[in-house]
Amino acid sequence: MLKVDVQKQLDHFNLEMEFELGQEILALVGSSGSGKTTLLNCLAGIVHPDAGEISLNGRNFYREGQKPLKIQKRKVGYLFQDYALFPHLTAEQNILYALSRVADTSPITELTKILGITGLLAKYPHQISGGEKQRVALTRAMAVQPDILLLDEPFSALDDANRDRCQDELLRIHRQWQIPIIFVTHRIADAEKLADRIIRIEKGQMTEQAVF
Amino acid sequence: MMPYDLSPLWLSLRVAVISTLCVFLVSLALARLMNRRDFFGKSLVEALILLPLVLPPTVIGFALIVLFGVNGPLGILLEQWFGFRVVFTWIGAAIASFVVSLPLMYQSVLAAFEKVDPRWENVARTMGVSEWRIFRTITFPLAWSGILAGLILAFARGIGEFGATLMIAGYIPGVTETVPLAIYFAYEAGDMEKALFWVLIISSLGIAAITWVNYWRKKNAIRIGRE
Amino acid sequence: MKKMITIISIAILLSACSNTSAGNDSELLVSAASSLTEVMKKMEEEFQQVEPDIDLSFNYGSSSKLRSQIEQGAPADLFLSASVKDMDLLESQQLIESVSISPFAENRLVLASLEEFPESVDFEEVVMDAEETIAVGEPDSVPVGEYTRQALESQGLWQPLEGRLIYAKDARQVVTYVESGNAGLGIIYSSDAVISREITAMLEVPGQRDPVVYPGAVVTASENQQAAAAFLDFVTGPTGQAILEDYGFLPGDGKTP
Repeated sequence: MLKVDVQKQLDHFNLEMEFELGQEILALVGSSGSGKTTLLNCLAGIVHPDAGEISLNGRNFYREGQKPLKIQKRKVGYLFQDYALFPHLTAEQNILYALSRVADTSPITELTKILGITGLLAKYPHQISGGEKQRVALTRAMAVQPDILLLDEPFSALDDANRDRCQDELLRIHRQWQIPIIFVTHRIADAEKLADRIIRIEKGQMTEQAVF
Repeated sequence: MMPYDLSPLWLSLRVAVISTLCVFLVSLALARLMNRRDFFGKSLVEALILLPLVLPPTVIGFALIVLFGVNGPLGILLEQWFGFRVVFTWIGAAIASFVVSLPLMYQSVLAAFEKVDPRWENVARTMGVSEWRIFRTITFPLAWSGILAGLILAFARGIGEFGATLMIAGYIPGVTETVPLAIYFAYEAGDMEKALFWVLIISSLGIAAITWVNYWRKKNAIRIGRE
Repeated sequence: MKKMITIISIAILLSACSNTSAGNDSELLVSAASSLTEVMKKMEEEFQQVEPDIDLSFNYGSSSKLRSQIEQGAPADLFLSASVKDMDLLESQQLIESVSISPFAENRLVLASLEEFPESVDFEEVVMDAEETIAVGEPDSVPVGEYTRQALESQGLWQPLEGRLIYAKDARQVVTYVESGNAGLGIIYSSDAVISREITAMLEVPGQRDPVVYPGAVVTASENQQAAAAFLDFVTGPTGQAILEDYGFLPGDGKTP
């Protein structure tokens, strides 16, 4: 269970979010600059809110007046909007970066097969396309078996076939892992296909939308 | 060419290598601190690091003599605790090289760190990786080409240091006689041939270093590429 | 073209500036060995009493450096050298007036220290036993260094001391090294040791063949030869000699060596 109740002053408005999320998929929609990425950053611990609290499964990520939990301890899988693949490592090294040498990599191998990136594991980020990078980064975010997945525009660079494959895989992983997943998107179709819940953010203010 | 005693070359290399090594470690730590933390007096500390860039070497030499001289506070301390002297020894030459090349290295390292996108470090953090490992496997390798350029600059500056070195290390042939000092005193004594010999040696070292850095950077750019 | 004109006019301007400063007839430029630094201050004061119209200004350095400056055409009216060799070199190139050459002082080398030497030790014991760095003049380019090398070589001490000898660029710097304590010992002119407030111990350096002779001469290229000769006369005259003696120099014998 993810509990969020935060305020943060941004350049032109105040971001105010309050919601609880079970093992569901939440879509964040809204025009760009409305605070969606900031919210993900607050959850990951890259930036901190000004006030309020964040907790996941009873673990305190942030509470006003206390020292925030270190990023490393939060166990979030985070897909950055522009992927943030390590440029000096191959796709495979990127995916396995945080794993110990003895870790069982068979689920990851499985994942790379399903997402169709097995053939480019030996390549460097600058040698592959935007869509391929996105899938590598998605695999990397899932490889650490996080307690929550944060995906910033995860399907933006994908063609239709790949988008479907990735979305199906995301649903499968969600069924299997039973963790909260939050993804930012500007495509209402994606939100409606994947999400159990949709929250719209405009100028820092949220409204929950009904899902049909 | 006439066979000259090559000891100035070995001494210069030793001085430059040791001072560059210290400069490397210190500037890594300083640049990381300055890049990450804000603290009271930060801009003053930074100004102090960069000061030798704009000061004449004689001022640096003077300050070193006052600090490390036989009657200087640090000079007394080092002699009592470790039993070694800085004035008129090659250690003095290494300290002079250190002080003048630190700002060059510091600037290069800082610029190199600033070029490393914080998202890479952040994504590694979300994966639960320790700060030290992130530094070793992400920040440092990605900043390396800038750091290397700084190293070469620092080395070249260190090997070429003259003014402050002459003041703190003096001119003891075979002991504190670095190549720049050898050139100066050969010229003073009217031995143009010897001066020219050392000028050629040090110039070819410089050309070799620059050529190597350029080559290495090109090679590296191809390997890492750009995202 | 415009650039060219600018550069030329700047050059003309600059040369005009330097002309005005060099054109001051009453200013006498003396190139003097650095070991004369202190005594020349007094000398100037006394000379002003006699010849108030002649303004003195001094350029100090090692005699060989001053010599090479004169060779390269640097402005100088009078050369007061700490070495006969440098004077001879200039004479052979006719850069100084041969007739004006006159030795005006002599000096000796001493081993100097800030701490008293124990009674009844000889020079060799002191320099060989001490672990201290010993400051000397650079032997290839500084007269005091050349004299030091001659003396030490004649005693067979030059080789064994190598690596402990720190070379200074002129006689003054040797004194500074000793006075600051950064060099424990130094071989300097007795005149420098006499006027130094810090240096308390002196020991005659053995093996000095001849005394160190200071010759002075008027520079051929000088436009102010009369004034230069007047000052040299003053230095060799009774008042000048008395001042030199006060500052630890021995009187010159007044004849061309």
